[in-house]
Amino acid sequence: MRRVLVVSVVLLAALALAACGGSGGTTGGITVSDAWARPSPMMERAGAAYLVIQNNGAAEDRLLSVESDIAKTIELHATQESGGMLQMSPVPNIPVPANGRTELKPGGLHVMLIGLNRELKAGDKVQLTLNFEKAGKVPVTAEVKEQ
Amino acid sequence: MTRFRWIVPIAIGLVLAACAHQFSGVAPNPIGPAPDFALTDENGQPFNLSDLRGKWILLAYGYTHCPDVCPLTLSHLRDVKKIVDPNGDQVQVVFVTIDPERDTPDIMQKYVSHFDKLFAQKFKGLSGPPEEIAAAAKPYHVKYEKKETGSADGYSMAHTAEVYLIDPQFNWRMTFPFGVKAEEIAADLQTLRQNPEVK
Repeated sequence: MRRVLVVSVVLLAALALAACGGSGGTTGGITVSDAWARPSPMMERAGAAYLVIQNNGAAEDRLLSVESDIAKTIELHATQESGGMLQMSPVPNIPVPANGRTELKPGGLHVMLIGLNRELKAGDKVQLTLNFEKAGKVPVTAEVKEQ
Repeated sequence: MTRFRWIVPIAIGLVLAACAHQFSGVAPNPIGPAPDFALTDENGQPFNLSDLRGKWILLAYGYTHCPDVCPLTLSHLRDVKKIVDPNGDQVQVVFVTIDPERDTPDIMQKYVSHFDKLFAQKFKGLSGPPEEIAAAAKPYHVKYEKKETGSADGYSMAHTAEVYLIDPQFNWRMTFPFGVKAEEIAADLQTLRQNPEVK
């Protein structure tokens, strides 16, 4: 009976992981999850991707860049408020504190996809490779969806 | 008679619920006529905001080279429309560019049509020469500024990102700060619709 329980728990855990899977990548102490991109209103317009970076390591790490075949240029951007106005600017890197997390979300930090090579349509998957200062390359799949 | 006594608390509850609605938007003080402006619509036709008198107007300003803030606002407004008027023509979303250098009527058309696919009533995407845009922004206290950021996407526009709600009598009723959820805007709109006297 006990074995059945253990097996069920393991199976459930595996299922839960599988449900989250496809979107996440882990390397070293860095785990990237919940990656998504907004459908692009127009192909000639930039797109934005968002994700959550969890750092389980004892040292701060930094997201330095993102690579993908989806766009010609990819930048890290931050939307910040100044004088009541919101402004988006490139940032050189995105720090992730030791034993902490950094969320890239609408109205804040985002991955900016400039010069899209194809339209971002709801349901599409986009492969991104995140380059971290310490953890190195972490691949992740972003789902294109309306939020 | 006693059989229907349960109606009393329910009725009181309903009244209290209507009174107790916490508005997410901020009402101008005093509430007065919405400032009108003349721009060019997404079909290249002259358009006055007051042409929409008789409808609820959800008014937002932004620009199409904006991948983060503006799609967020427009997707919220799409969701408000979905909640309060999915099949009707009584709630009109209007998006005004503050980047007249790059946003032509044709580009505005393509941009807003991405967000209004679900509806028969299409969103308005307004543009115009810089001085007309300035005249349309000022009375709503919309501020914007061109910024060179070094991005490969070209310059960026810093801008305020509130949403303005105008009633069918063409009174400016509410201002919603950036990031207010669609459900909250929808709840305010529904409350005002049902209680026109609420200030």
